Amino acid sequence: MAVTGLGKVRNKRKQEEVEEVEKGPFVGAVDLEMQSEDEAEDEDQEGDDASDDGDVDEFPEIDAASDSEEESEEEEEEDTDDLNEEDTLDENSDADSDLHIFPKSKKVVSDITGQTKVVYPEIEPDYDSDSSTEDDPNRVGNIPMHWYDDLPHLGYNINGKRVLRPAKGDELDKFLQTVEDPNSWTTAFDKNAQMDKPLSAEELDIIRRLQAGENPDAEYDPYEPTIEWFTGKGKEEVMPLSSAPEPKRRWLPSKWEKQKIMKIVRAIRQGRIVGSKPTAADKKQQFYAIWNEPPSNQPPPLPAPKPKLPTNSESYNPPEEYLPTEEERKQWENTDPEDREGDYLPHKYPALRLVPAYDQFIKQRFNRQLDLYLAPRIQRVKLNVDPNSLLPKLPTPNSLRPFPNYKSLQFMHTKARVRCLSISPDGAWVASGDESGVISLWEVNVGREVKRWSLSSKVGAIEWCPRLDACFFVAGTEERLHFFIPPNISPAMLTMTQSTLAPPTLPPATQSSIKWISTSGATEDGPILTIELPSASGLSRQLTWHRKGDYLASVSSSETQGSVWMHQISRRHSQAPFKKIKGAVQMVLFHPTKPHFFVATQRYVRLYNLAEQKLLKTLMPGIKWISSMDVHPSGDHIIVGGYDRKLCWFDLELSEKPYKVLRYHSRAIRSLHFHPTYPLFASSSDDGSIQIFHARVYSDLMTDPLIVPLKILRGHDVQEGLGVLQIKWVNKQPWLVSAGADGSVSLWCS
Amino acid sequence: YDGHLCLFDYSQNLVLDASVHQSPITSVCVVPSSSSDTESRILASSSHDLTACLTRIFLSPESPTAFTIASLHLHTSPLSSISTDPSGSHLLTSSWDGLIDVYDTSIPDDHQVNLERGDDRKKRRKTAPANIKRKAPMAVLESHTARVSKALFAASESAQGKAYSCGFDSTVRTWDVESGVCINTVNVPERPILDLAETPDGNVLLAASTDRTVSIFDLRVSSLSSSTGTMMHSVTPSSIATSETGKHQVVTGSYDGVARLWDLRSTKGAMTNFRVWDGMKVLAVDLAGNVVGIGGEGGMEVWRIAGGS
Repeated sequence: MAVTGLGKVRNKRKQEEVEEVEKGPFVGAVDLEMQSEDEAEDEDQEGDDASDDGDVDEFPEIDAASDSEEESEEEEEEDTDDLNEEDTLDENSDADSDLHIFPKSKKVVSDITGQTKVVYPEIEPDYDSDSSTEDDPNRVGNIPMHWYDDLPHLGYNINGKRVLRPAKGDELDKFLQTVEDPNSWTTAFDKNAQMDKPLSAEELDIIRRLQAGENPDAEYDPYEPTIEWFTGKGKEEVMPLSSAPEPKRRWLPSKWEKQKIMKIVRAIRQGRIVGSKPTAADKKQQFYAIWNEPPSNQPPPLPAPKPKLPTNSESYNPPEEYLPTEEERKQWENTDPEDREGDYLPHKYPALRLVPAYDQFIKQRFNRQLDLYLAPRIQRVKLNVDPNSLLPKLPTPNSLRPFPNYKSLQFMHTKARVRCLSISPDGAWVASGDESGVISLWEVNVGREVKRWSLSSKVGAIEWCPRLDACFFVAGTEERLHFFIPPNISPAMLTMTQSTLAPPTLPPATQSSIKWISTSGATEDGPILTIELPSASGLSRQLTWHRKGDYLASVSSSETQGSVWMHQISRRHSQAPFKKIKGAVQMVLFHPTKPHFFVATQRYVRLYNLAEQKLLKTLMPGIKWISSMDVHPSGDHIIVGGYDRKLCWFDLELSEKPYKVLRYHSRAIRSLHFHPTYPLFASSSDDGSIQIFHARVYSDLMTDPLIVPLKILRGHDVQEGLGVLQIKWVNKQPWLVSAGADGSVSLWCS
Repeated sequence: YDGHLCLFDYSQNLVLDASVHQSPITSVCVVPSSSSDTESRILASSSHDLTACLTRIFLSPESPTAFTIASLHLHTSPLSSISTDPSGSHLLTSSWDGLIDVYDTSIPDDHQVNLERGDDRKKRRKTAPANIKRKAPMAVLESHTARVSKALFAASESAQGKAYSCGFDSTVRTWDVESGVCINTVNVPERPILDLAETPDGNVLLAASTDRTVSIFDLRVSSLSSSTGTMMHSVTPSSIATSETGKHQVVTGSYDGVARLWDLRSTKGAMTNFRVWDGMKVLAVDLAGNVVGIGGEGGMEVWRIAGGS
């Protein structure tokens, strides 16, 4: 037996130990004996342990409850061991056999024979016992039973007699047995006995436990109390659990570790590994006062709003009024999913079990994946902007009538291009002057020339006096200004005009380089008054009247100083308002209400206060070369046109930069004019077109001016790069008169 | 525009040429006289020189002569039109100063208006003979706010004593001449009216305006407040005339040199176009029977309306 063999080896080792111990001076014999006794006592248990590896320290299966008993036993056995110590040492084999003789026999005097006999106790089968002790008639053992298939017996019993095969009924008997016998369902076929045997109560219990997945052992207690082996006084672990010596690797330095470390050391020496430098932050210890923050006095975050409860329309069986009609359904299906009002359509099902699976499931899951992937759900490929929505909301031109929209009549200057024109303040007469020196006076409506004056040089500017009690106009030529009285005016007006221009008693002459020459004898065929500007001042390019008709400002085309002159009719006096002007003056204008004076040079428009003699404002239109400007009748707005096609609208109260820049002409702007009464202004250009704008100015300072382009009037021919040279509105009527380089003067009517 | 009155016969011969005014003449009309003298007629003409003149002409075949017999004064602006009533006893003048004056046609014995200034009188004496009597108006009709372009008497008997006028203030006014009161005002927004005409039966008033329309006013409607119809033109109509015989025929002359014949019953388009001159304006038209007289920048032409043309 392996166990006994091992036990022998063990005992030999014990012997050596004991001998060593006996040689040693310090070790008490009692301990050693106790150990050996222990070994001897629990041999069957220790044998398993010894057969295992010495490193694994397993607790011997010792019952805690039996501790005291063992103690007493040990003490008893101590005595016995003390007694037969020598025997044990000498006869190991004997001791072994003693241990395995079981059960102990008793010598009993027989009653019958009167002699002693050996009686063995009854064998009690236990877990330790052999299964052969079971009460089984067939003793063939664990062999394949088909060996006995064609034999009349099943095997042999304990006495060596044959065990005969039991009678076996047919299938009907089996069936009847299952029907009749109430315990047939607890029977099982016994292979050894070749017949059905009823299962015992213990076996049924085991089956039940296996079915329930429990431990099949009924005695097993999964909730056993912990056994505290080494806790408590007197139970400390003093000795190692295993007597195996410590392995060598525990105390020998590792060769591989050494190689690895040497590799790192070499790398450090060669500078391949550089240790990280301690940072400044590391040097100074940092503390975070996490509890020092003052408690926030903000209200706690609001709880999330509750999701809306489903309504009747979300039911699988909604009321009829929630169901969509056919048109609604079609409209819902035709709209894009983003534009739909709700994300579902109410639908009626006769029963809840007929409701299909949620059709949006895959889609929503996919969208959720897109969200997790940080991809936008809606992918718009292009910007869907209605181009009409980008246009400013302007009223239609038809709602802004009247404005001129067709050419009513045309008056021709046959010889030369018409530079200038002017319309009488009552809106009845037009005076137009051309470059050959001819001034024609004609009716606005009929267009037939009534009177004609011929001058020696070309006419640069014509302007009617705005006075209503006198009627005359001024024509500017080379270095001269001529005053004319139209024919056919009433005698009262005629005398008033004559007394204004050629008074019988001349005011005292002033010191000036300008000569005022009255033509004696008021003839209707020539100028009644002539002002001679200084020589070399060139063509007088522009004339403008103050609104009261007493002051007249003239601009000459010469680049020298003194191109601007201010003439006062009542005093027959002329003066140059500016001693020095930077740049060439393009145009001058009187403010309609205030004593202000606009001067447009090549780049800037300056506003002077004439009463205080100082510069008020400088407007910067950003135009390279200003060609024309006009001031709104209210006096708060001014438009400036340039040769670089730009038209700037200034709000004088707003800023020095243009409020609006219009660039509608394809060529240089030549002339601008505000209508005196209607909310209109017009611009003419070298491209031969006239553009009419609606310009409504609001009296409250909050609303911006409304500027609406209304109409482009075409009809003038472009000759030598020059188009429409001057435009003027007819007073009191929405009519426009334009003078073109092609020698024609046109009247545009509404 | 040269201040001359010319009289033609149908054979395109100049019968008479009389210099009446120094300024352009704007309108002329024949004053019907009750006398049976067929040889003499009185013509009334209005001019830019602030006066209107009555001129007696003698149509003797051998030597037609003309004498200006009276000048009508008051206006302070050029006159735009002159017209007579059917009986020939009264004249209406309209002027740019917004006034309408009523004159009678009788020749006064002495000057009713004195010239203000001596030098002015001197000047006039030089040019005008002294036998021209200056007349003052009987009444002044004053309501227009802008230039009056035409004033005429009502033609029908039912509207005796009434007058119509139109002006650049876009109104057509009806006047009671006797009392000088404006009875009715029709406002057509933003349509300065150039010329006015009335059908002979006195039912319809036609007004040509600068927005290229001829407005039709039905006078039978009791309280007339707006135009009842329009005839659209492609260019500005300058003048308008109705015929005494053809009840529904209207002739308009316009600035493109085309005279158009319209039928009042269909205002969609013109019946006939007469292209008189190219590029020259028609300034006056008249319609008598089936003869159309057209005057303008190119001279004077007379067209005959044939049946189907």
